[in-house]
Amino acid sequence: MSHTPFILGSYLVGTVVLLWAALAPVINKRGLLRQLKARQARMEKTQ
Amino acid sequence: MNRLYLFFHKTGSPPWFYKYSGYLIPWLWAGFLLLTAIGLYLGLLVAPADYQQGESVRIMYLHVPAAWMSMMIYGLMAIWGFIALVWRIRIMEVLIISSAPIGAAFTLIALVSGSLWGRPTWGTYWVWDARLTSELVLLFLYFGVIALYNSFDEPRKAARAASLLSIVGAINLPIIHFSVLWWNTLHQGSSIGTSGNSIHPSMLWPLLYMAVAFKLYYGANLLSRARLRLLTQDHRKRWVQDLLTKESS
Amino acid sequence: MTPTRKRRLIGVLVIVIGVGVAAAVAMQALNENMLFFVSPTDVDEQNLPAGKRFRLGGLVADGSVSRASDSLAVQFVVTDGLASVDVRFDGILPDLFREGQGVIAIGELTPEGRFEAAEVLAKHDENYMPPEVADALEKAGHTESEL
Repeated sequence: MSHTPFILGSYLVGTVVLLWAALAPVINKRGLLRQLKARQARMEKTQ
Repeated sequence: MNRLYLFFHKTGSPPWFYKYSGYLIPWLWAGFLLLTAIGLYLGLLVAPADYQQGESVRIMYLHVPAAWMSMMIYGLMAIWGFIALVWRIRIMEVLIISSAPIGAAFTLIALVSGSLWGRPTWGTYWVWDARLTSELVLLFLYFGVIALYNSFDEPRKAARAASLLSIVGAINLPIIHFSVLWWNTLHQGSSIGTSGNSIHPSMLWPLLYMAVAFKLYYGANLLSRARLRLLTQDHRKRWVQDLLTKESS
Repeated sequence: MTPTRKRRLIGVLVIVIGVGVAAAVAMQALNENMLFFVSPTDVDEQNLPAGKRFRLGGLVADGSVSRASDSLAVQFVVTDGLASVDVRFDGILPDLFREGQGVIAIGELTPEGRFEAAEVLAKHDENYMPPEVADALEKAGHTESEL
């Protein structure tokens, strides 16, 4: 039995999972900052 | 005691934590990338095939460090949970809930890579032996902590419930570790321990590089998750408003 | 420490100890069922009934493997040093299967006391080394566990 697909499969799963876990907070933070800045701008306008 | 308490209070203050963790994160990522590059090079290209498993031994360089991380992170969550429950330090609560998804990710990697190693070596993807079952329980414990936390509206209450489950669930850690000794398992015993190693140095080094790399990954990812959570929880507070003004000017 | 903190500390400790004791008791009770496999000695001692499915674990006895020439059928002896069981299997064996290797066979005993395996898994040990090192160790007359 060739072991290559099992080795590649393992490292592929590892890469995808670690990449997802690392990128999730980065993406969410970008969204949050955009939201907070929009709110701050709105509040400045009303003042 | 007093000085220690002061130290906790200072590092536990969200603006302080936010500022200094921001300096640390790029260095942690850089270290992770460097050590992973070395570890993968040694493990996939330099290290020899095993005398019995052949090439499939290379899965170990991912599987074993990921499995170590899955247990270490839960252990840390239990310790922080204890501190959070007794001293009510908010930064500890944030660290626990920020750790859980990372721990779940490493547990998932350990389970999948172990399964892909088991097929060519043992002849099966999965068996319900004590080691594999207790590691699967660990994955569900991580899911449980996340679900429990999300079931509360108030973050402080949510964190208290999550802390309690982290502490209680830690009973699973010695079960995972000693399962291969206490019961007849298909999973082999530990190759690395206080009583000496049964792993050749050419295979041990890539394993250690990957193990340290994963710890740096955890540090970087934990800090960026904790910072995001602090921003979200404190978005009406003064320090976040100041931060936004400073950033946009 | 303030009285409130002391109360919380005691509360948490009580819960931790309580759960620990409960888990220890549960594990003790489960211990019988958590055995992943039984050894040939257990088979001899327990008089396991024919037709009951269980997992047999042990080493493949040296020189005991005989393969049929016209099919995948294979016969071998599983031993734990004290007792041994004849095993018959018809299927594909894992890569690691060889004489002296730890295996786990899933199947049942026939009335004649032979074990009919439906599945055979190889058990790996905790030794990892390159083939050259394994050869050198063997030449020097060392066992693998002495590395």
